[in-house]
Amino acid sequence: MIQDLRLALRSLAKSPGFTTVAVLMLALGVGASTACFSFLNAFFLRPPPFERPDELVSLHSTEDKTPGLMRLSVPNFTDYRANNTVFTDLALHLFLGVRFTEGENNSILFGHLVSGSYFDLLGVKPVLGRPLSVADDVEGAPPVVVVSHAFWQTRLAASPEALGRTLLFNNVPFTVVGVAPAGFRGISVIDAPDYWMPTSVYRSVLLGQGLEFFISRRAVTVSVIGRLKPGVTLGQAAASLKPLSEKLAIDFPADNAGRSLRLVPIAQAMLDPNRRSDLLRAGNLLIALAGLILLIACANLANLLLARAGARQREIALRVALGASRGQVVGQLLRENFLLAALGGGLGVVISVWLRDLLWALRPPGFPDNMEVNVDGRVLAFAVSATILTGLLFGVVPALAASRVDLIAILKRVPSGDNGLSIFSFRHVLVAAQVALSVVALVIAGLFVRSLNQASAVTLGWNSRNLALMSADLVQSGYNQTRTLEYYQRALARLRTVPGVLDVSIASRPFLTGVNPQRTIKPQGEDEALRTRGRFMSFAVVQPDFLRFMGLELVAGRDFSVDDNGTHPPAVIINEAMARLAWPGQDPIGKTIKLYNDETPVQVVGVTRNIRDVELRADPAPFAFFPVAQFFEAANVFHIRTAGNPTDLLPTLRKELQSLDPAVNLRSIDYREVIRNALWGSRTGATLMSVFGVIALFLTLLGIYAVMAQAVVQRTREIGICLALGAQTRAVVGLILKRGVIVTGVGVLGGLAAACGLTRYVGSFLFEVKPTDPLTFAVIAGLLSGVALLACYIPARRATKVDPLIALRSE
Amino acid sequence: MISLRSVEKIYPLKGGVFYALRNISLEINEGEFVSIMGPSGSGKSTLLHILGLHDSSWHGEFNLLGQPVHQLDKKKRFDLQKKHLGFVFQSYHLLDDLTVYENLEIPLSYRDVPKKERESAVCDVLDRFGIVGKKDLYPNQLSGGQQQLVGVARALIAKPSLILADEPTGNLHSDQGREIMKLFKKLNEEGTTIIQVTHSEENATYGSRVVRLADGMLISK
Ligand SMILES: Nc1ncnc2c1ncn2[C@@H]1O[C@H](COP(=O)(O)OP(=O)(O)O)[C@@H](O)[C@H]1O
Ligand SMILES: [Mg+2]
Repeated sequence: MIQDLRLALRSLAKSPGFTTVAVLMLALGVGASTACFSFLNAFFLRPPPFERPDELVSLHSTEDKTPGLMRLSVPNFTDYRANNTVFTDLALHLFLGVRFTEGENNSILFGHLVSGSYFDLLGVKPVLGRPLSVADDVEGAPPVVVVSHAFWQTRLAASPEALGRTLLFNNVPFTVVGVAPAGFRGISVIDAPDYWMPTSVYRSVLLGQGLEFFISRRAVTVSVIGRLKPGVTLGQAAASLKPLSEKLAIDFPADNAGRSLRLVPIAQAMLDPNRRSDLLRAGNLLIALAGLILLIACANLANLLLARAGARQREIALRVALGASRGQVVGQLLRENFLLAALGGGLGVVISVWLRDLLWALRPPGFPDNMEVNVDGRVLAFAVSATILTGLLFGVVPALAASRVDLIAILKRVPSGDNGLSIFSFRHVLVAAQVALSVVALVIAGLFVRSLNQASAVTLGWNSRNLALMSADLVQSGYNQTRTLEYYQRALARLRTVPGVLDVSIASRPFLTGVNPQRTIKPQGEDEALRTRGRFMSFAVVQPDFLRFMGLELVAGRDFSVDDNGTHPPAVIINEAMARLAWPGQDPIGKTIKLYNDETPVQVVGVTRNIRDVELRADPAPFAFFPVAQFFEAANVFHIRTAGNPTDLLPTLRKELQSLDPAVNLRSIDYREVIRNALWGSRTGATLMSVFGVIALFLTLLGIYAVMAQAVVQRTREIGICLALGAQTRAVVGLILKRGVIVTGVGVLGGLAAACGLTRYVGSFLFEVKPTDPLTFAVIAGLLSGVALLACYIPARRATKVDPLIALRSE
Repeated sequence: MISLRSVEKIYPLKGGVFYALRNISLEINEGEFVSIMGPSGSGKSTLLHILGLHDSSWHGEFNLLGQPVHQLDKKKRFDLQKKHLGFVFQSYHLLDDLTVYENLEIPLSYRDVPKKERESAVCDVLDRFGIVGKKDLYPNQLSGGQQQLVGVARALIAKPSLILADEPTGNLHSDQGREIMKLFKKLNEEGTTIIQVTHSEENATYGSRVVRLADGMLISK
């Protein structure tokens, strides 16, 4: 066995060029697919790092009127926890940001507010100290905190003495009682909490609306997990909980009408369930494309091996004459091919680590820096299977073909006839298949590039030019409503005096940042069971001049004015989408809406055009603007229009606001950055797909070139005769090109047909481009045909350089 | 040992069929050293490939070592060939990528001979042919005569009872050719049956009998 491998290795070493190319192609294919798989593994396949994870489920609210899975409210959580019979326990967590004071410095740190049994329920043991306990989670208990491993290392010097130290969160001293295990990030794979606090401290760390929502039965703010009692299935639990949720809807109709409960296995809740399927599809697309590359690499290798088999016919015939059975010959060739696969696979794993880091650098904004995408046993198993599979794919047919030799002809040194031709035509099929596969890869890449162009050139419907954003954490700094409004006025006045500032306004939320606060909006009408009743809708609370400031176009009614304040009846401006949803076919001006828990009718005074507000995609959702003087909200994102580059002005703006109150934390951003982030998906998609497409194209051209070049060598004699008989150069080129044209043509047509059927699976990733976009298909077909013909033409040109005399003597 | 009865070999050609061998009937006994002679294109190689079981598309009866070859399936023929036949080629046909030692070992490894036995068999043969010093060289480091020596040694290593050689000295100087013929004679005296194709009357004198072909027909046995 070892000797067999040594012989195989020697045979490969004999043709270093072939071996290098083959190993590199395989490494590229295996590497790309393994890198993609390591992400799929990290996000979807790694078992949750908790005790008996099969028993853990995530609980979600669903609502008739609002799509998607939502979190739960704390009062509902408390009722479910007290009254269910299927869970050993339920625990909640709430992601929050709290001001952290360290000496002179203030910063906002993110962590989790969790119920007392959270750690015990998950079965997670701190590496130092103790977990939070139920005793910590009672009113009046001294505030304690468990910090993350990263926090412990960076801020507490990884010292064992950290236990017992006090940390100042929102000016309240918390005692450190434990350090969580490294890498523990709670339920979500992409959260990166720095600390865990018991919910008993909520009044100290939640402020303003956050606090209001935390005690509301309506607001869905907390993530809830439960551990099923032994032997209870998910279905049984869901059935047993149904009467509970029905009772909650009857007991609290204003809050819970139309709500029910949905259970999700914990493994599927480690990513926001509403985003999970998108990410999963993106992951699968990556794997599919990487697989496509691997397939093309296999086809290429099979082709190279077939060419090599042609050159090795004498050796193989001789081995057969010396008594080798077909099995022994095939065995020897397979050993060589699998050795190649193993070398390629090994190098592929190395490349995959490198590619993984490259891919990770392209992660969406908001993913943590310290997530681990490891090469674990499962990733290695994938790489090994991919390697074996490729070994089979590219190795078996050539080995079988090569072992079928015409003994006498070869031993008598007669030039081979039929045998060579049949191998040759199979090689043509392989090349056509490669062309087809790369057409698919390139069409997908083309669609993503088109999609990026569309998204970049989109008309926003509002003016994003020279815009800077500054936000101030007034709530965390203990500002009440009066002080906040006062701060706004002073800040507006101050910012307007800065040279280079054209205008300033305020809104509770910026557009397109991915942050999307919603509230219950109930349009009023004859039909009280209106289909929009109680639906969560997006909204913004704004300065009266905000719409004009942003250049938003009104299609009906009026804009806000300074008179829309406490002394006038409340007003709202809605977008066309909300008008159409609430009062189809009617004039919305003068109609009223009501907000949750408030019977005051709010009059619609204006309608704006639908714009790209929450996200870049068209398909606009209902959106409402409220004036800040009537609906106070910690509306504190300053929108600043500058004369020049906003980035240059940010430090000055920051200094000005800082001088108003140095204790207030400020964050600032150039709007171009926001747009860049909003385009992340399109841009990353286009980049990745283009990289895959170019690799596919490159491999395919290599394949075409190799086959055509070999055809020229095989037909040297024929070409020599033609030239000797006085054939024109053009005729010889044509003779060779003809095959190339046919093969490429068949491949391109096949590829286009396949792409037609397949691109609809990427449709949901595309931005306002149809998956069958004719322009993309045409350009790719043209591009591929052009380059492929070039790859045929070079060897064909060389054919005309054949010296007839040498060619005729060469047999 | 060998008995051919009305063996014919036909090549279908455009204008009709071409008889490469026509009505060949021939007996060869164990221990003979037969030389097949005849002009170029008379069918000598064709006959040898039939005898060597390389070719299976012919008509007639062929008994080899008591087995009716014309009735055997592919696998049985292959087993028969593996067990009893050895070949020497005009152009040596050594494997360029393997050393002398490895070239000699190959037929044994295809016959699943255990490693220990392979070693002793190869060493035996190296000794007998006086090429121990060349065992680690590659074919292209040997002269033509030495290469053919290795070729003969390789044909012999699996202890065949019949050696078939197609113009074994065709590419050699007459001195080297004589060496090979002496070797054949010695092997024949030790009991191996030998059938060779040759153009040289001198080579034929080493044998015990000459069979002449012309235009695919036997003109003397
Ligand atoms: N594959 C083939 N197709 C047609 N004719 C063939 C083929 N192989 C050999 N022949 C013909 O058969 C005849 C005998 O060939 P061969 O046995 O090689 O002759 P030689 O006696 O020189 O060894 C020759 O005339 C040759 O042209
Ligand atoms: Mg001949």
